[in-house]
Amino acid sequence: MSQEISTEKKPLVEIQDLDVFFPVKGGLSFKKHYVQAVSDMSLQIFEGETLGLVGESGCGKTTLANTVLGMIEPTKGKVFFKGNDLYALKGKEFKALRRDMQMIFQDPFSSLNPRFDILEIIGEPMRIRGGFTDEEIEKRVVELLKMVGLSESDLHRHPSDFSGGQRQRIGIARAIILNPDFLVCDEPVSALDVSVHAQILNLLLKLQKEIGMTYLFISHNLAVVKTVCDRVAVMYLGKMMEYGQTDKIFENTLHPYTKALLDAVLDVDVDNKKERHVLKGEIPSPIDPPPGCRFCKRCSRATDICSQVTPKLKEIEPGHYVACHLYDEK
Amino acid sequence: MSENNDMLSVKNLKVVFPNQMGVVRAVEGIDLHVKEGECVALVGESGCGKSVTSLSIMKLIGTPPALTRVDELVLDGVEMKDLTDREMQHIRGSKISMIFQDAMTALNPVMTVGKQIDEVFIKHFHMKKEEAKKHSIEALARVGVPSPEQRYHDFPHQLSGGMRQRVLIAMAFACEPKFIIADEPTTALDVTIQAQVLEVLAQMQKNNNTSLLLITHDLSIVANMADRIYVMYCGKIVEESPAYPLFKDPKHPYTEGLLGAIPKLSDKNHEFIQIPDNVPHPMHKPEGCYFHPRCRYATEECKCQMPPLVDIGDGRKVRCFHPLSKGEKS
Repeated sequence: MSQEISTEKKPLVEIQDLDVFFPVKGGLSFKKHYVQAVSDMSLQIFEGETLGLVGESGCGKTTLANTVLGMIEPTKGKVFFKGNDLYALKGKEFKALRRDMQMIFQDPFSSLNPRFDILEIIGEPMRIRGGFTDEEIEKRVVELLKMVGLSESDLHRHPSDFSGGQRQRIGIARAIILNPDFLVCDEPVSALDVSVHAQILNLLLKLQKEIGMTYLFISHNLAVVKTVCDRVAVMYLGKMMEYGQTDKIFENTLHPYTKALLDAVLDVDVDNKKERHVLKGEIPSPIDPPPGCRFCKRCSRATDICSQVTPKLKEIEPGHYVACHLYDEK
Repeated sequence: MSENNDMLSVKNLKVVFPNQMGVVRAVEGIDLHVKEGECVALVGESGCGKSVTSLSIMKLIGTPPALTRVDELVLDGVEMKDLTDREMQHIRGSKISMIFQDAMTALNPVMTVGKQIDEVFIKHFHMKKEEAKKHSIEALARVGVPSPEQRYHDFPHQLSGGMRQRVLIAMAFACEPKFIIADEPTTALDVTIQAQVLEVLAQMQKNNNTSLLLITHDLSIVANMADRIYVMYCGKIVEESPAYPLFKDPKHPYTEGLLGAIPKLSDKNHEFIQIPDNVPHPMHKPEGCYFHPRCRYATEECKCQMPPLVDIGDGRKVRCFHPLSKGEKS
């Protein structure tokens, strides 16, 4: 169970002191500038759990996910998958490891090839891997179609014949055809109609139970994260703000940024209207951010120290970490 | 006859798009009315005809391709259905205006935002350039744009998404129109920025006593803002109700489904309530009640006959043969 984080348990994915910087061209000075998309992130994803990654757009969620999948070389730090250092591997070994991790994309309208039919789209990973006959591929695709709630008759239709929700199901089928251990869901429902959200989320939950996959679930909707995830990591401008088990984060919210995110969630609960503190300002530029806490300019409880010293991630209670100077003495 | 305090009254609006394959009936005879100073929400999923409705009210739907028919389209006592384009130009901007969904495409990319707001004043109030500039800066300040004098000279791409949306709001409120349509004003924004923009919009509406028609797919946005709500499905109004009772006690199964599909922070369960199936294609709408294939209360009657929109008292109307009663909710 993922509720208890024990030391004996082996993480499936481990990220250690990860930095991902992108150089910025141009500018008059000779000093090189960098977009610090991800800076000094460490986290672990255990087998069978769902880790939620929360933050505003531009905070580095997708960059982190791409780095974990081996698509962006990190500037510093290491990514371990099943105990192997992902970026130390080359060629065949790297490919073999990558096979066990897959991704579901945000926009099902741009992530499916419009000229392929469904058999080709879903069967493509098997074809690329090789060693399967056409009959085997077709049999497996039909099996998957049923698993994600589509029918065999859809096999030779094209993506344009399907609605957004159905396309996302196709994307999910494609991602799980090679039985991956680890699946990155990058905002899997934000491009879909509200009435279909629940269908897709329930499908993801069902598949996790059946196949036993581990999810990295990226979202900006805390209400969804609360229901889906076992643990949550809150990011702001490439830094970890708060990290821990879902119930602890939601019941004992520590970081001012997490509190602000919770306040920003709009609810249909008309009976107990909460008092909302709308966060002022916008997410600053990640190019050469100043020292200190990256959130200090928007934080209502910022003090002098916040703009000078970068807060370290501290364990406040077992399995609940926060990077904030407010909790220094404790 | 419309009541005297109705700012906008639309009766029996129909919009169809004929094409080679058949006819897309986007809007099928809807009635809307908005009182002075009232905030009314039109809620529905993509493809249900809500944007077509809003554009038809502005008379911005091109004919062809569309065929529009309306029995009554009265804004502030003026019948607009037979007005020419030239006459409409005087009304748009000064009496009725619109906030579009995607601010980047709604603004002219090669013109500073200040100049674009100036246009409104120059066109409708015949102001001189300097005078218009003064008013534009004031308008920017009113929607909470920091240092409006500098932002006046910025191009749209230099502003963030939230700021661009504020510029659009400033532009819409520039002439203090009596009626504003906001078409998904916050869909493209982050949760924290969304909260900011909604606050600005609500503030501006209250201060100017403007009537607002808020078009959205997200019921959670309107929970704290709207006085009255229309729920639309496949080109028809399926439920009309004051906001509070709609959330407490939805009458139409579709509304119930939409409310259930939104995850709540207060939820304890680990599954989402889902509406089965997808929104039907606008060219292949089912027989009878459009919602019956997805409805779990559907009976034989629902399959062959479209239910009428029935007044059930307390300002509520519902298009269903079997409206839900309070204890029936699952």
